[in-house]
Amino acid sequence: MKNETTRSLTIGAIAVVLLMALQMRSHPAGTVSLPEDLEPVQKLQRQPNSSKSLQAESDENKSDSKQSLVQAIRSTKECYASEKCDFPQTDSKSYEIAVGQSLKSLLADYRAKYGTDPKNHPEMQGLARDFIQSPDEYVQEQALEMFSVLPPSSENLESITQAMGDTTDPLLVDQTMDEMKRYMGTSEEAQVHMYLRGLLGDGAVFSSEAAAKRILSFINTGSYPGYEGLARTLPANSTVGQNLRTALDEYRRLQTGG
Amino acid sequence: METKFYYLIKMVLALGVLFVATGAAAASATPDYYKCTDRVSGEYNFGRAPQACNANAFGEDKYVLNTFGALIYNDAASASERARYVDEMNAVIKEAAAYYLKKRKPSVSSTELSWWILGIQATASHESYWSHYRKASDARLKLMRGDVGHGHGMMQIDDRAHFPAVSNGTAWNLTSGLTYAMDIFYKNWENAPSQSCVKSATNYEARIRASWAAYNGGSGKICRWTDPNDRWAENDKNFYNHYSKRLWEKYNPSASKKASIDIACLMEKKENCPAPGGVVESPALVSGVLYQSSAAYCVVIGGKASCVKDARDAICLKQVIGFSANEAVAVKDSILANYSPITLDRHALCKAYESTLYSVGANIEMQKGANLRATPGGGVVAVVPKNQVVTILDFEIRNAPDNDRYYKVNYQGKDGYLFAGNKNDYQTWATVDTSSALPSSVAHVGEFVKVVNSAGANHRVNPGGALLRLIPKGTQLQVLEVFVEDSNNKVYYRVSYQGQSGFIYTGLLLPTDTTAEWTEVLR
Repeated sequence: MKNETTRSLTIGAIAVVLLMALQMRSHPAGTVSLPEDLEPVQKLQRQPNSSKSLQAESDENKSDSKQSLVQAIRSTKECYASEKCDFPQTDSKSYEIAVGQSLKSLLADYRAKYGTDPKNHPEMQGLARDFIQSPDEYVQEQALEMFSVLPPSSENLESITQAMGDTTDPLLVDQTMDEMKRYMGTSEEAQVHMYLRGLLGDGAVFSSEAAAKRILSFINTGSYPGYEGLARTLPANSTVGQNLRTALDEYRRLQTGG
Repeated sequence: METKFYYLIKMVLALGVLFVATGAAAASATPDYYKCTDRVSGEYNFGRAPQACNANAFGEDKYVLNTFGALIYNDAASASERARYVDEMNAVIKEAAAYYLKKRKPSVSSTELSWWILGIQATASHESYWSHYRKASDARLKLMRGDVGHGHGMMQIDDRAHFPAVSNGTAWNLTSGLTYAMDIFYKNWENAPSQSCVKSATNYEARIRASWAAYNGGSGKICRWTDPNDRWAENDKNFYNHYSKRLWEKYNPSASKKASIDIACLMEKKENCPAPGGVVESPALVSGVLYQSSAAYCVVIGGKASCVKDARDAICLKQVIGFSANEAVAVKDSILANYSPITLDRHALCKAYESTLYSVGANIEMQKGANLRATPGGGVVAVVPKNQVVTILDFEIRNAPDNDRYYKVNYQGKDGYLFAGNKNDYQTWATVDTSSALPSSVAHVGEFVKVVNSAGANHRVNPGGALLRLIPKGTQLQVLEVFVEDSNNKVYYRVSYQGQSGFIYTGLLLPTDTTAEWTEVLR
C-alpha cells in the first residue's frame, strides 16, 4: 500500500490499457458459466493472459526487422536507468514492471522468429546471457527459454547458475532444472550439482523447496555423497531436508530393486 | 457491474489511441483489483488498512477461520479489538521473522536477528498496517488489498510481479505470504551491505532502509532512500516513519506473547498444523491430549504412545483415543520415549478413523464440479467438471467431527487438491469408479505392468518384507492388489511371479510421483 496517486497516462501507457482490455474480453472468467460453488479457473502460470509484442514485422525484410527488434530490446533495457520511457508511473512498481513486460514480449518475439536459425545463435546467446541477469523474473524466464534452444556451453551454464543462485521464484527453479538436465553427463555436471546443493542448502525457502521436489533425477553415483552430506546438515523438520532425504532413499531403492 | 464498467472505460480510453501504440508493450495483464469482489474500505491504521476484498477468491474461508481465527480483525468488535489484534500479530511476525532468518543463517548473531525482526515488522507496518484477514461490516472474510488492488495481504505481494504466488494462494495464506515476502526481503538484506548507501553489514538501519526500498521499488532502487528527489522518495519517508516510530508499539503488544499458530509447522508445511497448546513439563502424560514431539504427533493410552509423522494426520489419532482441542502440547522426546511410542501408518489409521475415505490409487468419478486447488485450502488452479474420473494420489482429512476430505489428483497435467465432501455428503461429491482405465501412473487391479527400473524389482513376501527373488527389467506382470503406505505414499503391487505371490515396490507419490522410474502401466 504505497502512494496510490494516479498520474496521467502517457500515450504508450494507454496502449498498454488497450491490450489489457482486449485480453480481458477473452478471459475465461468472463465467458464460462460455472456452478455456484466454483471459482473462475486460473492456470498456474505467470500471468492470466499472454501478452503480445507490438513489434511489427515484414516477412520480406527480416534482416531489417531483426535489427529493429534487437534495437528495440536494447533501447527498452535502457528504460530501466533512464526512467523516461512511456510506461506508467502509477505506483512505485508500475514502471519497472511495465519495462519488464515489454522486454519479455520482445525477447519472446526474437526467440520465436529467429531462435531456430543457428545463424542467429551467437546473437541470441548474447541476449540470453545479458537478460538472465535481469531483476525481472518474467525477463529471466525468457532468457532461460532462449538458453533452452542454444547448444549447452560452460559459459551459458555459468551465467545461469550465477543468476539463479538467489532466485526467489520457484517456477524459475523448475525451468532452471530443466535446463540443467542438459548438462548431466557432460564435463559441466559438477557445476550443476554445486549449484543445486547451494540452492538446497542456502536458497530462498520456496526456491529450495521446488528444487528438493525434483532432485531425484540429479542424483547418481557421483553426486550421491554430496547430496547425502548436505541432507545431514538440514534440520529434521525442514521440508527441504525431508524431501532430499526421501529422494536419497528412493535413489538407493532404485539401485537395489526396492 | 463495477468490474464491467471498469473495463468499458478502459476500452473507450484505448480505442481513442488505437493506432498510436508504438513505444510501450503490454503491462502485466492483471487488472486493478484483480479478482476483487465486495470491496470495502477501511482506515490507515492497524488491521483495517484499505482496501479489502473477499478472501475466498484465493483460498478457502473455512481454512482461515479454523487456523488463523485470532489473526482476523473483526470490524464489529469493541474498541479494544485493535490492541488485541496488534498483540496477536506482533507475536506472529516476530516468531516468523526469527524462524526465517535462523533457517537461512543458522549462526546469525542475536544483534542481526533483532534488526531483521524490526525490519520485517516495519515493512509489514508500512505495507499494510499489519492488515491481512478482516471480518468486515458485511460479515464476509476479507483479504487486504493495496496498490489499486495489486498488492495482496500484509506484505503486499504484487499480482503484476508475482502472479503465480497470488493465484495459487501463497499470498492469501498469512504464513506462506510472509515467508514468500521474506524470501524477497532477505535477498535485498544480503545485497544491501555491498551497496554504496549501506557499506557495512552492521550498518543495520541503513540495511533495513535499503532492503525496504528495493522491496518497494525493485532491486535497482536499493539506494532510493538516499535520494530526496526520487519520484518515490515519499514512500521511503513514510517507511522511515513506520520504522523509526515503531507505530505498532502504540498498542503495547506484549514482548513475551507466543503466537497462536504453529509458526514452524506452517512455514514448512504451509497448511494443516494443530495450534500450539503449551508445553508439558511433567513426565506424566495423560490420555485425551495431542502431544507434539520433535518428529511426531502422539496420543497416549494405557501407558503407550501412538504417533503419526505428519501434523496433517494428527486428526486420525482420534481413532486411537479422542481429544477435543485442535491443539498440540509440546513434549520433550525424552519424556515421550518413556511411553514406547509407535508410529502408525497414515493410510491404515485414517481409513480406520474415517471409513468413508477413499484410498490412494482409487479412481473416483466427480458427482459435481469441484475446484482443483494448489493446496487443500489454497488457490484454484483448475475446475474438475462433473463426471470426470481422476485418480487419488494423496488425501487429507480436516475438521472433525465432520471430517472434510481433500484428494490430490492430476487433472489435465495439473496437480492439486479437490474438496470431496464430509462423512455425511461425500457420495454427492465423488464416487469410486472401478471401470475406467485412466492414464494414471498407478495401475489398477487386473492391469498389467512392465518393470522398467534397470536394476529390476525385488519380489517380497509383503511390502518391504523378506526377499523372494529379483524380477528383471522388462518382465510383464499382472497387478493383483495395490497397496499404499507411509507418509510419502509408497506404492506396492502384489503380483504373481514364477508361481509365487508377493509384492514389488513401484515408487512413491509424494513429494513427486516416481512410479514411472519403476514400472510402466500397459494400457
